[in-house]
Amino acid sequence: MNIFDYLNINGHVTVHKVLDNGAEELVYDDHNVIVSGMGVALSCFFGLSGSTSVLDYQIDRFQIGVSGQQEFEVSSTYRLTGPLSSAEEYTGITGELVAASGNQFANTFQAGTIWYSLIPAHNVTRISDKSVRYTLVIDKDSCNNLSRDGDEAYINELGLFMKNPFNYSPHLAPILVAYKVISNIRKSNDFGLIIRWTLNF
Amino acid sequence: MIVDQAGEIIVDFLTLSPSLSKIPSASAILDTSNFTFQAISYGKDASAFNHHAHAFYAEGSNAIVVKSYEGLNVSSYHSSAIASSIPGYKLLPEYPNPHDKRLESKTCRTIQNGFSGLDFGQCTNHVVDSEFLTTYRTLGCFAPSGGIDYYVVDSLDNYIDKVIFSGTISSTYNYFGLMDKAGFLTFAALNGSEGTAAAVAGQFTSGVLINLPNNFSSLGKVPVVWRLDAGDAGALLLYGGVYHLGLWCLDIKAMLAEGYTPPFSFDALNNIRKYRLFAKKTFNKDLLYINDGTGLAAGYGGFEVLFNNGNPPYDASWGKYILYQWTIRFL
Repeated sequence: MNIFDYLNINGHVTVHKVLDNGAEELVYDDHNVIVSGMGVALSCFFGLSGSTSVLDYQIDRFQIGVSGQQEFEVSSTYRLTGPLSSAEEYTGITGELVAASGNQFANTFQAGTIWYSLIPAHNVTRISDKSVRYTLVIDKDSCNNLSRDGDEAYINELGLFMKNPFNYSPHLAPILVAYKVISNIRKSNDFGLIIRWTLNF
Repeated sequence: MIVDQAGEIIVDFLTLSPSLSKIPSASAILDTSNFTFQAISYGKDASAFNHHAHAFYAEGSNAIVVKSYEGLNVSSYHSSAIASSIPGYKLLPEYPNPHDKRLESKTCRTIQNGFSGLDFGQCTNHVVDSEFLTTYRTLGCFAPSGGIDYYVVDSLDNYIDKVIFSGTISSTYNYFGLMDKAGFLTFAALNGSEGTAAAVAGQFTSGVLINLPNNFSSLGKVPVVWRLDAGDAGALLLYGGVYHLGLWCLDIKAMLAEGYTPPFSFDALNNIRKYRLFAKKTFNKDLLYINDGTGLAAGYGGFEVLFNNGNPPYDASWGKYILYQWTIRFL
């Protein structure tokens, strides 16, 4: 047995639409998949073999994708299939998301300009001794009117990333630790999204 | 078994405020060593703390004395034999529970002749605490680094005339200052690659080591290795054996609450470290059980051959030890 079996490490995702009047409408509610990257990062942490700063093992960023398929919702998944590929896709012109680029550790070190959205520290909440909730706020001006190859694209996959467990420098190499395929959402400036992602250890 | 507190430790570091990095006096809290493995401990069932060598005290005696109930005529000692000889004594450790916060939840305190020992739910190391200068031989569970005589006897009355076998044992852990009075065996202050190199070289004198295999992260395995040298093993057996192993991280909240700030250095004689249980392993048979029924005449020295040291203090050439490896799997 491994630590996931003993502790029953799991997660849960809810997605709410937020309308102009502040009302929230639940559009998705399901468990997630803790992927192997979590085990890789934890073995690095407890094996005293990566970064010596706790901050590098924190989940401080996420990705949104448009090519999610149910078959990828397995523990061996190590990256999103179709992550947003630019700061503009995340924030648009006036969106409030904070986008950041970097490398990625996806089975191996992957150099390149890969885009993430940062999770503000105040949106990381300990909700019990063994649970932490990440609140991902996508305001109404962010992630709108996405397209791929001239066609409309729908938000349908999400991933949480640990910052830089292997201590890559000077550019970080975040690693995917939790993954979720959701039902298609065509994001527009008519509404925002609040994703509440809870990990239970 | 990975216990629930392991999950709490993970959530602790996932939710630490990054703003601590901007505060010079607090930034050391963000060091991973505050949350990684820092100690191993040995345990046994709670009632064992008043049997075996814990059951003997004589003011003038400067030895560990234990009564064998087996009528031994060979140099062997079975902690488990006591259970069949003393009514009501089961010698069964508690079944592991995910909620466990120590190895035995019941009181593990030796009470004898008007004095009592420490209770940490595990095998303690009273000899390093000057408060127990005259009683550590009863309270256990380890020998001094300078050595101590032990006697396995037929009867505790006039024990010196009832000796089945005897010898001298000494503690390697105490010689190198690796274990505090609570019985926490510290980890070496080495990173993963340094620990692996030390383990390969057989250098265990600085504590427990992380011994990473190649591509450990893709395997998701973190092996923890340490040595139990002959004298320490012999003492543990005389005090009732080993039925639990515990793997511990630091309890940083408890230490901060008491006013300590990182780095939290290990000091065997005055250890400020508090620990939180991460994992435990429980056995229904003594890990140190030896069955030496044929005796010296057949060329077996049993306990004496296995556990007697040479002349203390420690000498690396003794070369008798048990090597433990405990692998925590993250995949």
